[in-house]
Amino acid sequence: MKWFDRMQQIDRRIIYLLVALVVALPLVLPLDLPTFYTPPVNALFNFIEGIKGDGVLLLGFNHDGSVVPEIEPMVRSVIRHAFLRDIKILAYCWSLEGATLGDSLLVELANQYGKVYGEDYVNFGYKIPSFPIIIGMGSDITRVLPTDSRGTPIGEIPMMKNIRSYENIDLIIDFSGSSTFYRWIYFAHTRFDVDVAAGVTGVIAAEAFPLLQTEQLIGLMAGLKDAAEYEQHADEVEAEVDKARGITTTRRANIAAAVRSREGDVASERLDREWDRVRDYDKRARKGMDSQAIAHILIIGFIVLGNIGYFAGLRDKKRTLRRH
Amino acid sequence: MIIQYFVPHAYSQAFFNYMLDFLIIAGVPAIVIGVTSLWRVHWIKVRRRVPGYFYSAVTLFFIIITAAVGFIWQYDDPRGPFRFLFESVQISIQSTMFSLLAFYIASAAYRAFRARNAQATVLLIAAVIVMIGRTSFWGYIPVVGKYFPIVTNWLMYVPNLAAKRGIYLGLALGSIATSLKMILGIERSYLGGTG
Repeated sequence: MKWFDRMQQIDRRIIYLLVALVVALPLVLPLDLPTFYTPPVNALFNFIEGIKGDGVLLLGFNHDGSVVPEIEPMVRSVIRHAFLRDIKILAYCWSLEGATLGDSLLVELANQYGKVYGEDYVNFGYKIPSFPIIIGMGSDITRVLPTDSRGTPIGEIPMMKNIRSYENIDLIIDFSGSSTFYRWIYFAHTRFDVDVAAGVTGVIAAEAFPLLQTEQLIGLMAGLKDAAEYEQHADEVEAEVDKARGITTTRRANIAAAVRSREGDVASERLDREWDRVRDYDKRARKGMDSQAIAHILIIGFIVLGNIGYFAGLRDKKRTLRRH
Repeated sequence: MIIQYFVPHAYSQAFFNYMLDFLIIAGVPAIVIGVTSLWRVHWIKVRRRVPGYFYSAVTLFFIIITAAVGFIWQYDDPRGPFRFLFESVQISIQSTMFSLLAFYIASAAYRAFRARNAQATVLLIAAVIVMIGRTSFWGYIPVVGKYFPIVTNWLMYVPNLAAKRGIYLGLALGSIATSLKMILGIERSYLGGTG
């Protein structure tokens, strides 16, 4: 086999091995590549920044386990942003896995930021079928969602006193590994004029772009890249709020209290480790982007290699033809 | 239900609410049907020892285990066995399956992206630009680097969107045409005829 044929037929096991290496190495040795902002993410961030007073976000956790690495950093950052700006959160989902994943994150972050269930956030959990519920929420939430995920009647939840329908909700954000945001667009945005945004995986982004251009989606996070951008936004907001009211100190104290309640009186090194672990979670998408960036470069390298081999092969074929 | 959109009268609203309740009640038993169906399909495979029945047996075994664990320990307990099954087994398996895409895409891109003709070359160049534009690497490319995200956005929002809209319009018009044919009795193949 000639060298240019070899370049075109690299064993797929070598490709797999190199991909595994370039994905794994930056996770162990972070490159800290910079994160640049893009308009769809900025639009979503600015919209939430613009929500004043007792603003309410309705989050739809409709992702499943397979897309956690891409979607979870988005969910985490949006919840952090909302809690930092004292925006109230409602959650409703029609994905069983999403309900569990979203609930874990909500509870974890609420404990860290000292937020109270029923006053700062409410989770309706997994309720189906979604279509009549989405439509019904436009006229009266209590009709279609009479209790929250813990079985508490809505009338007994303090936060729900002023939230009756979409009129009292500033923005719906759907998180999903598929195009479930269409349901909010068809039945909530079109009928009741409530604003909708989405957080989706990279492969679904093309489905969302038409809606973004027509402003049916006010903002979009697509894939790990956009998750990394929102993560950075959330960190900047936390730094700003921290200057004003020391939120990071409070957060750290809450995390330390949670560790102590679980493990008893522990050494300060253990608390530092836990804090580092939490901050590491806050940077998960940016760390992942290091791997993704290198993997993209590797793929481009393979494509270039394949094409060099292809053109060299063509030239060789022409030469051989000329000789004969 | 469509009428309610256009006639916001008390009667249409009452009927709409009645239908919403009906849909919610009718939708929930679908879960029971789904679980029963899943069980039956795999149970028959195991009983008849069809090739690959071992996988069906594993499915049935874990349906029982997961359900039993779920009934005994609630998922609210962050350190409970049900949460462990969900977060450490199910999520890890699903994420692993999805991440295998990276390997296949790398291999497929290497084999497929060859500049064999003009169209393939355009596709190849667009793919490379988007791959660089969607990472931070363009920041390290001198002079032309800053144009990568601009061109990436243009590619995503103009040619990509134009194609996407064309497909959507085609789908919508096709659906309308097929529906009309079915309503008017021209298309009958769905009834088992030849149309």
